[in-house]
Amino acid sequence: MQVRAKKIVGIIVLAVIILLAVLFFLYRSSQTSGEALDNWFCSSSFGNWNYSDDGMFFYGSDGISYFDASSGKSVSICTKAGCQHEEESCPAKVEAIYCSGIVYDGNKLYYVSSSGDQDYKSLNLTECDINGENRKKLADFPDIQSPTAVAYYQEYVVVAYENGFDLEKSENLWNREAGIYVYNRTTEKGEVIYSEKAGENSILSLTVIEGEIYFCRNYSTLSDEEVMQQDASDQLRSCLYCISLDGGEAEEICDALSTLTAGVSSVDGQIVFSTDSGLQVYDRDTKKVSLIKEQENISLITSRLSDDVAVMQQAIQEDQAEYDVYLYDEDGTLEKVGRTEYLLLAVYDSTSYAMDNDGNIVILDTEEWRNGNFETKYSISF
Amino acid sequence: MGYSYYAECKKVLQKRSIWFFLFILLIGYLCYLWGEVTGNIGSNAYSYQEYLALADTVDTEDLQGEAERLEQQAESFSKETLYSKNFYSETALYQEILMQIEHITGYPDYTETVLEQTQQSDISLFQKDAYTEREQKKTAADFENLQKQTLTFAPYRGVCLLADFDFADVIMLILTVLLAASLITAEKEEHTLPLLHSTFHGRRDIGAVKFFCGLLFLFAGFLILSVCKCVMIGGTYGIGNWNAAIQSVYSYASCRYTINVGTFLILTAVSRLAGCLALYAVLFLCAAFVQKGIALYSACGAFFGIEGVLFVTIPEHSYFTFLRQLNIMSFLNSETLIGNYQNINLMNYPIDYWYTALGIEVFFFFTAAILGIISFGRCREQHRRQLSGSKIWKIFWKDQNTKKQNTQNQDTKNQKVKNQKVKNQNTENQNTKNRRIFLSNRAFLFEKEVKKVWVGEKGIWLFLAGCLFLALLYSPLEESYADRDDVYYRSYMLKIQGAYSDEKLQQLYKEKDELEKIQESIDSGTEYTSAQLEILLGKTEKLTGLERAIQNAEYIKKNNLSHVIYEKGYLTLIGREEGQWEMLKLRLISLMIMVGMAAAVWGIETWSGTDKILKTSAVGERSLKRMKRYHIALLSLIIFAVTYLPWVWNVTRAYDCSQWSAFVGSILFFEGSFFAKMTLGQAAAVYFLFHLLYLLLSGLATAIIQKKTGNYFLTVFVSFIVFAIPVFLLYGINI
Repeated sequence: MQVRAKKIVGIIVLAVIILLAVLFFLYRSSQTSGEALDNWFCSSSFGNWNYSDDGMFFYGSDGISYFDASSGKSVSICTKAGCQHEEESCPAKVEAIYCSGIVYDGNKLYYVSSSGDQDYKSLNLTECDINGENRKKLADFPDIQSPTAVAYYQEYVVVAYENGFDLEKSENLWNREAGIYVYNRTTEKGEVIYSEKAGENSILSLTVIEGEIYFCRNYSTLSDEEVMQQDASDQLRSCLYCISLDGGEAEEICDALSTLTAGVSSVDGQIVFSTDSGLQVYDRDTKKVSLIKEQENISLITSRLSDDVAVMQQAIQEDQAEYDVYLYDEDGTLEKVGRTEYLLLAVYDSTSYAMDNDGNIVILDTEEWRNGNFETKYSISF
Repeated sequence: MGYSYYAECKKVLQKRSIWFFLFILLIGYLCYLWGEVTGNIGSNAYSYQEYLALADTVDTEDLQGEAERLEQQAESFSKETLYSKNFYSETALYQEILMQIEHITGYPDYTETVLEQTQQSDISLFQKDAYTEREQKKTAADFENLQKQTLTFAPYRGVCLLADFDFADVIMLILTVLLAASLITAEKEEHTLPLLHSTFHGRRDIGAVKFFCGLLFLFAGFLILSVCKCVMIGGTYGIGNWNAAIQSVYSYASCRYTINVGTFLILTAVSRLAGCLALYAVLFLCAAFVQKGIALYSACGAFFGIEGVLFVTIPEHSYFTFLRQLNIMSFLNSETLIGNYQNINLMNYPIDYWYTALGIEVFFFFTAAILGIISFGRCREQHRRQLSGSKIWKIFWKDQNTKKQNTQNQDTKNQKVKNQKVKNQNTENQNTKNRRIFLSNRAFLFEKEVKKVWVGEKGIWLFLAGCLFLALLYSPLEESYADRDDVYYRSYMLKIQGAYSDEKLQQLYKEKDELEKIQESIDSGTEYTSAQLEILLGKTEKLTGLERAIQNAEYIKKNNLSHVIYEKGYLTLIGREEGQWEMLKLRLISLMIMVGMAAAVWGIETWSGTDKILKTSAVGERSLKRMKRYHIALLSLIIFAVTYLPWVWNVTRAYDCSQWSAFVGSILFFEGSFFAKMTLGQAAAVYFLFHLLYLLLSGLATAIIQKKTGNYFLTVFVSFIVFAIPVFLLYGINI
């Protein structure tokens, strides 16, 4: 009897321990619903800055760092006291050649990076706390080397990649593969939905609008020897494409984009983009492209304004960096706002990011500059 | 009661085999300590004399100037002014001293930076996280105190060595397990528990006596080990300035307590002892429930193994970090608990990690101690079942009928057996005739010996389990790179690898000139299109890797060596760089299989009681012992092949290892080393031959341990620990 009683007690104790462990894990795993990541803009190919209305993430000498737009402070996400952000033990440091697509949903930080032993072979999607602790690899993206643009849309992670380095021959490839990998965080499945090979091939921006990916691809029809012999800029094609998140054929919308890294804007259901000949719109229903404003040197700026307005800049003089800023609204009106020396990079409802002539990032108040006042709030130098 | 204490202590002291084993461990530890302070093994590439000689030259009044002086000296060493034996050790020595100086001079900035970082709570992003906000405030309060600390320079290497978790602490863990086993489990195995339970003082008192006796031995062991450590390290490295603030030691810069070096060392020791005491109490409680020693040892081995694996393999910032933080290994690393600033998240409140660890240790100690003493009073031997009268009668009649049936069956069987025996004898005679044609007596004896262990003692299962473990741990090696420079370096080295010639070096110089010209044209402002620039930058990116390859080739030329070698594969093969951890695993696993099989080889006759019969045989034991030695040799060959050959294959498949005829000295890493004049093939053969010989030696020496312990699992346990010591010593050896 006593032996039997001991066994029963032992089983009950074990069951209680297992139950506690399960509850503990469930507690740790449960996530309060995070904010949508759709509004983040990750420009991997230009500065590797990840913008939002409150601030921007970047990967610098102190590891993953955050620039706060309201206070003008730039800090490493590491909160470990006494950490100098030099050692590998620093939670902000990521042991990888590439680290981009750094976004925060209010609960967890996400980023796309390569991994130490799989550099040049695959990328990972990693989740961690805001201070870099409790890292958890969520997914592997196999057979892709470097991310050139990352976008988050609902449960999807969209990564534009480039396989531009031949590990065997240890050389950069001119004729290389560029494509788009889509990963669904809910089903935990991913696949390459688009892939092409060409010279100087690169997908430099991604914008996901209502389940469709608009991406800007840059490539050359010449070989590397031909490029070195002549002016290749005439042979460089900068195209805008559209493809569904589910895959399928990519539709080429235009082949003379003027801004490759800014993506496109959506105004009243129409896709706005800038080309060498001026500002154009693409009607998603009729699949037709029309010219809004015929003008040279006009460039679309990345914007996430909630009042459905697209922003563009026109360079005034080549030797002097000065730009006229325009807004295009859903009524089809193109309104000039003012002139500034700053090159706008990303525009949000409260915060706008721009670059000055020295290459520093400056912060502008969106409402102020929309009224013509381009005074900067803060400046960051990298 | 006093006599009870004396009796219990005497019982433990009488287990001479255990104390002999611990004595061997102590000797091994002292050898390890000596090797460490003289710079032959461990993390130091230099000796204590060299360290102190350089530290003495530092003028503490002008640390900034001294740092500049040492940096200048470190840029160009000359053989005449070396403090240590070679440039590699000299660089490590200078780095150590410079790190100490730069830490002292940079401390005010360091505390300032920490305080600035705590202002993160002003940033909206971090305000969303309650824990981060609270931790920032706590950190600010703690570091404001540290700003007032005055640091002093002194040679503090000894402080780090004294405070570090090392082999002495592993001995303490082993002592803890052995004490729990000796005090309780041994009583059950020797069936003296009923006797103890009937003593005058009662069960619970005896339990308490046992518990406190164990504590006494733990204290004594801790004291002896601490004294040895203090004498060895204090007498060589010294501890610098006893009264200086602990923050003066760069490893403990973030220690939140305003204590001096002496107090820190005492607290570290006390905290570590508290961890051992808590563990002892838990093991005492477990031993009260466990009937057999093998179950206790297995459970302890599994527990420490799992804790060790979790501690080592879980990355610091992983999702499972809590398994690493709430871990006996972390608690025993008390120098990290006290010396590094770290908080634990308890219900979104930051709590000092050291206080948390101490709290858990105290809780476990008192809870397990009380429950252990009570449980000891209640634990009993297996008792027989009581049967009712009718049941006994029924069993009796059934028994009688069964006996009759059995007798009849037995007669039939006996007849059958007789017939079979005659048949067998005929077959045996035939077999013997056949055997004598094909096998000598010795071979036959060897065959029987092998069969005894592999089949009789189920050695085949242990061997297969070891192979399965190796197979599970196997992962195909892939060459990894720190950055693109590594990739280009590899590419150039593979291009020029092989017999050295001036043409190869000239080729590299030519390529370097071309790349530098491209770089100059880019820097000079020549206009290129973006496409052209991309192509050109893709070329100039190779410069750093190319320069490293040129440095290698120039070294070969300067020393008149014959071959240029890409060294990564060879270094990995002998357990350097990426191969260090892999080689340690392979050594430990092969050792475990070896001692497991060897224990069965040497002990099977003792455990089956047939050793006395052997002593009376006509031939005697000598032949049999010779067969056992051959068997051990065969085992070591098989285990060596199964463990190390796949590793060699794995490395040679992943890396280029084609220059076996080149000299070891062709690799910059081995400049001036003892093996420099050997070829790589010879060095690799010698290296792995040592591993084979070590397996053979450990197998043969297990016989001595088996005689002392007399028990299979204890033999394996003790043998593994004893022979694993040199393996761990080799882990940090500097050739």
